[in-house]
Amino acid sequence: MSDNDRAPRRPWHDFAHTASVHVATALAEYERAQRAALARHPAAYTFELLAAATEPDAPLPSSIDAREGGLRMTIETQGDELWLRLELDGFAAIDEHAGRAGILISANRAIHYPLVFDGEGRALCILDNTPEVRAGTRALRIVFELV
Amino acid sequence: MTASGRVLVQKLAAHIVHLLDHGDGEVVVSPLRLRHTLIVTLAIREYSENLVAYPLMVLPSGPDAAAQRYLECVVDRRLQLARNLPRHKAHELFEAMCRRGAAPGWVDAVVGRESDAAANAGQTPTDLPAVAHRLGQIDAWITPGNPAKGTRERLGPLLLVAGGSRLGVPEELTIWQAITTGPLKLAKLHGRETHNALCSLMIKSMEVTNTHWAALARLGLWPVDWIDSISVNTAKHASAFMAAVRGLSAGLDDRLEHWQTAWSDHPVPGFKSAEVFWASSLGEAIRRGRQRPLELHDEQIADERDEEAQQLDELEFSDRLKLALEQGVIDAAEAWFLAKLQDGEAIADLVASGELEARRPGADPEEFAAELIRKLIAFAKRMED
Repeated sequence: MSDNDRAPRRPWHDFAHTASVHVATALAEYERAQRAALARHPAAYTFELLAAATEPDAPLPSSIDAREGGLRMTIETQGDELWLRLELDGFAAIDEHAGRAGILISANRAIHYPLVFDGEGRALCILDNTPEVRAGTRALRIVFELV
Repeated sequence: MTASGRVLVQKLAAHIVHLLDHGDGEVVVSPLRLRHTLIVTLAIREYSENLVAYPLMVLPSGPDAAAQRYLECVVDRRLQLARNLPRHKAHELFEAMCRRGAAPGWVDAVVGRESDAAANAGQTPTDLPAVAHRLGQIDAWITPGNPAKGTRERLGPLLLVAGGSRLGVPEELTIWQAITTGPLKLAKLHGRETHNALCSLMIKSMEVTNTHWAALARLGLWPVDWIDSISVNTAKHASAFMAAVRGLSAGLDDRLEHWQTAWSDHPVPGFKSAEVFWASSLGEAIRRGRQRPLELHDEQIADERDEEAQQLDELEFSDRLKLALEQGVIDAAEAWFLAKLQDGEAIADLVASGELEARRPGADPEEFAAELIRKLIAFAKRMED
C-alpha cells in the first residue's frame, strides 16, 4: 500500500482544511504584526550599556553584566550567538513580571525578540552575533504583552 | 483574543513554517532557537490558556514550564503508523524538510519503503553525513503493538534516499525530529503554493500529534499526568460521555445519577459501568477538574481521518467557496474574507482599510476567523463523517 491508497476524498473536509491553511497563515501573520506593534507600547525596562562594550569592531568580552532598576542583564558570547540572560531583581519586579511574555527591542531595531520570564523571573534571549545586533544591545527596552 | 483549540494549533503550525523560512537567501535552522521561540510563543496567554492548558497544571510553575511540558508531550511524541499506511505524518514532514535542503542533491529526496525507494544516480548532498549522524541518534526501537513491524516485513524498512545514498529512517519519529533531523541549511520557500503545501502538511502533523493532549485537557485534566495511562480513544469517549453528563446536569452539578443516565448511550471503554467509572481514579480526577476544562467542541479535536485531508487548488477552492455560500454554510462576509485570504491579503490590511468592519461591524478579526474555521470543520463533519 502506498500513501496514495488513502480513504476516498471528502471534498468538504478538503475545503475546510484548505481554508484552515489560508486562515492560519493569515492569523499567524496578523499576530506577528500585532506583536510588532507592541514595540510602540511603553517599556517596562530600558537599558543603556556602555557603548564601548558593544562597539562592532571592539573585541567583545566573554560576558557583560548590567543592572537597571529591577532587572539584571548578562550578555555572553556563544560562538555565532549572543545569549542575553535577564533576571528580575527583587520581590516587587518578580511579583509583577514573572511568568509574563514580552518583547526585547533595541533602539536600532536589529533586535525584536519575544521572551518570557519564568516563574523565578529569569529569561533567555538567543540572538545572532552580528555587528547590528551587538550595536543593538547598547540600547534595549522590554515591553510586555498586554494583560 | 479568543481563538481556541484547533485554530491555535493551526496558527502555531503556520508560525513554525514561518520560522523555518526566516532569513534572507538561505535559511539556517537552529533547533535550540526554534525550541526557545516555540516556548516563548506558547507562553503567550492566548496559547497558554487555550492550547497548553496552563490553568490545569497541578503545580503551576510558570507558563514557560507548562509550554515545555506541552512540547515534550506533543511535538516530542513518537508517532506510529496507522491504517496500514507505509508512513506517518512525521515521515512525510521529514521528507518535505529534506527536499528543502539547500545543498545540491536534496530536492528529489524520498522517504519510502525499500520496495519503492530506489537510489538514483543523482548527487549525494554534502551534508548527508550530518543528517546520517542525527538519524543515528534517534532510538530505532519499535513500541509493541506498532504495526510498523508487520509493515517492515511486508514492504521493507523505511529509507531516506538522497542522490545515490540510502539511509535507514526510524519507524517511530516525532514531529520535532522530523523538523530538526534533516538538513539544517534550507532553501527558501518559493511562492505561495510551496508555502501553502508545507503549511498544510505542518497543520496536519501538528493536529495529529496534538489530539491526545487536547482530548485530555478537554476533560479538565492536566494532560502530563494522564497521557501515558489514558489512551486517546478512552479520552475521546470520556469527553463524549462528560458532554452528555453536562447536558443532563445543566452545568456543574455532578451527580452519580446523571452519570448513570448518560452511560447507556456513551459508555467509556475499559470501564464496566457508570459506577465503576465514577469511582475510578480517572472519574474522580474528572470530577475534581471539571470546574475548569478547556472548552473545546468535538470538531476542535482532530480525528485520524483529518490527516487525510488534501489541499484544494485555487479553482477547486473557489468553486467550493461559491457552493458553501449558495448552500448557506457561510455568509457573504465570510465568503469575502476567505476569498481575500486565498488571494494572499493580510488581515491587518483588511482591518486597516475598514473593509472588514464594513462587512461585519464590530467583528474581532481573530474571533471572526476562528469561528469561520470552526463552522467549516463542523459542517464537513456533519456532511461526510
